[in-house]
Amino acid sequence: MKNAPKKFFIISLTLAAVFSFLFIFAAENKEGVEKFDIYLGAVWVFILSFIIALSLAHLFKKGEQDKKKF
Amino acid sequence: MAVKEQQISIKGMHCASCATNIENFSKTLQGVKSMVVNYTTQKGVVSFDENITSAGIIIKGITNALGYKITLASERDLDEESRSYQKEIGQQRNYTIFSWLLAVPIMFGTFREFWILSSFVPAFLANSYVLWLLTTPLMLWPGRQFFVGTYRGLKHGFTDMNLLVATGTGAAYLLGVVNTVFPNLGFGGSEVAFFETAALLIAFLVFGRYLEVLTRGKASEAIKKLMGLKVKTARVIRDGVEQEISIDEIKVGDLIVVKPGEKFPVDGIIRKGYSAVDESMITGESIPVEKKEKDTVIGATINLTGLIQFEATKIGKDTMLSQIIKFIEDAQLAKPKIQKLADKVSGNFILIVHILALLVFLFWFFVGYDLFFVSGAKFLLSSITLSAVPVSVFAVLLSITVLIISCPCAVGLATPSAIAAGTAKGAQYGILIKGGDALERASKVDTVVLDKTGTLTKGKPAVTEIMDVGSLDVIQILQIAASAEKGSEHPLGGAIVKAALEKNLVLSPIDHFQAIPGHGIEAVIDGKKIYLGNRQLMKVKNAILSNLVEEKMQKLEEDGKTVMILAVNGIIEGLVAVADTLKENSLAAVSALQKMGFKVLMLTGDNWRTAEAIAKQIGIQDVLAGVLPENKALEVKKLQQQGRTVAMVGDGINDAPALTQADVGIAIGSGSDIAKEAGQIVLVKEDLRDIINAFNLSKKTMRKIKENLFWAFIYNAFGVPLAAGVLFPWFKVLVSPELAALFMAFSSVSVTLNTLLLKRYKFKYL
Repeated sequence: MKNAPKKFFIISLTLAAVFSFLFIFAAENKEGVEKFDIYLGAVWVFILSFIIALSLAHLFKKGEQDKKKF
Repeated sequence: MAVKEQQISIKGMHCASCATNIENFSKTLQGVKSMVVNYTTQKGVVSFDENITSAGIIIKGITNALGYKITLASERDLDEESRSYQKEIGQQRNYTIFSWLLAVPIMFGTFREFWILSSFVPAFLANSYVLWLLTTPLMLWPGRQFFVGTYRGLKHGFTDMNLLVATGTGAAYLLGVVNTVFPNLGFGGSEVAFFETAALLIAFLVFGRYLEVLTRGKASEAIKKLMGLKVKTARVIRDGVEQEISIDEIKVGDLIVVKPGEKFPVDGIIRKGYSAVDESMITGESIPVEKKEKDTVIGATINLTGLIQFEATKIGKDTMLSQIIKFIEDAQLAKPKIQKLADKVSGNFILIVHILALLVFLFWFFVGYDLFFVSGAKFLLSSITLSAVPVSVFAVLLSITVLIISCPCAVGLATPSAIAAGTAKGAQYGILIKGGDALERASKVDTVVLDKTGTLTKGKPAVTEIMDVGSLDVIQILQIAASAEKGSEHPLGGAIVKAALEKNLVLSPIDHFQAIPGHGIEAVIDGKKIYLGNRQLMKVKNAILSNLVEEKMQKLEEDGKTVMILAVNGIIEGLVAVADTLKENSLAAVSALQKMGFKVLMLTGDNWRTAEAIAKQIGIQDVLAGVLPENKALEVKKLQQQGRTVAMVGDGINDAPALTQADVGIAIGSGSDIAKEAGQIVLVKEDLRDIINAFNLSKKTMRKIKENLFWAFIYNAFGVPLAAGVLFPWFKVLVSPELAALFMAFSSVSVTLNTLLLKRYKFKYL
């Protein structure tokens, strides 16, 4: 059980990194966007995606536990 | 498997989502079956398998993981609790003062160029380094609680409102730092430092938290008041010596002395003395009750006039006061169905909000900014204009605002705060409601089934009529009958003796007494042979009943009364009618229930004639008589099968199955402990009008819950789109993160204040 949060943490970090790169890719292809906008945006996307991924992982874990109980 | 339930007190919860987190985390611990936490009362109940874990392990697990301070409810120290609550209020107040002392100059410094501010705000205050210097302690001291909470949650994969605040304020602060240190980087430079956003966010949120702590205390003060009623010491007579001992040392059977003006320390029976007792704190009854020998007294009530010696019968957790406290605590932890929806919504809300914040950011970054942004756009309710804000800062700003405005605290508070207030209000008037579920069902009741004996009637026979049919008058008849019955242990005899004593009649000595089972008694008084009993006794003793006597008897019997015939030396002299009498307020309660549209039925194991006589007196048309105890529940079930929501009101052990079967079981407080255990609502007073009060209170509380949920959701329903910038394309206005924080703080406070309006609700006795 102790390893679960660590595992979710790493998965969430990875997913957040992937989303940030996707954002950077999309932003770089947009006209008129400055470098700093891309950096700030990427950081923000990383933070939000990380929290979303972590929450989803928690929901998933809860669902698994509920299933086991029944 | 040995499942045990343990009540706990929790310190350090800041929001309803903290309660959800504790519940969710506990379920991951081995051996824990369930956990229910009420944020408003800061209490919880955990049920676990004793063979696998213990309360200590669970408490340690939660404390280590989430940082909340948890103690067993049994180890509860009221003084310590009060000190800690005052400390919490003090801390949040200091945070608020500190935050505003810094936030105001930060705000003035940031907007120095606007309006008349430049005339009195010194120039150095507008320097972004000065603003940074002022904002940092604000983030580190009052703001620290949000970051610590976020860290603890994230460590275990939980997200709560701390995260929303931490993300919002943290992002604003970091933007400010970057813009100050690297003004040329392009995030808007020192012109848009964002320190004021972080500072005002913290200031508003800490202020909201301070108001919440204040109002939370008000919601749970009923229990504290009840606990405060407990007496600490008692004067006990042991070995003939009066000694003062701690209340914990009192044993059942101890003889306790209570002087006028003092409180009864525990429950008991008066052995010596006569006094008026103020029971208002337990029953809500404002008029003092007269108490004499053999009467029961309740711990914590006040002895007003006479010196009393009483024997302790219930101590510790068995006293009525302890039972009431436990009842309310259990009640506040029982969740109604309506809360499950709210829990589900608020439980997943943080996730939804972050997804929304991400979508809002992506929309404004990639589409919205290019299409709609124009220089000179304004914040709602502010004169500040946005001139050269880069796309990333603009999109982050809107995203932060969405995070801040969406905190689901108000949703989480809506139900538990109303239940806490509703149950506490009921307890104040002697109506104990076992939780939200009972409240919810009581609000839907359309049929009331009333038990007869002990509920509608006093359950004790009393003399209702005395008729003279010979040479003696009614007083003489009563005097002779009571003298003859003096030695009898039969309840009917007891009723006759009681009636004579109430009229201050002097009873004559008996020369001979014999009870004739199933017939009556035979006695000799002053040389005269007395027979008192039924027709069979008269027949056996050759006392002839005239047609007139028979006619009078039949009339009384038709009214459900038991008639005893008095014969003196073989001559019929009089009739004594004994019957169970109606309780004082039964008639008023039944007629009020009928006026309110409830279908009212009477259920009794008694015979049809007696049942109908009582029903006629009280105005009930639907009677179910001759029902055996085991069939009472069946009758209730039949009504439920007809689609009715049934409340069963009873007092006896035989009513317990029906009380359990009914949608709402209402037990009369004077009744058996089993009935009280089976009932979801207990009326401490014997006043049946409290049934109406219980229904009205439950309806009022449910309405409050619905209102609270409506307001909580409406805040978000309007707030989130506004924060996401839906008005911007047309009106070029935005909700600032500070305004969002203000909205959020007031959504929680307004829900709590709306709940507190329940305190003003007054019970009516028709």
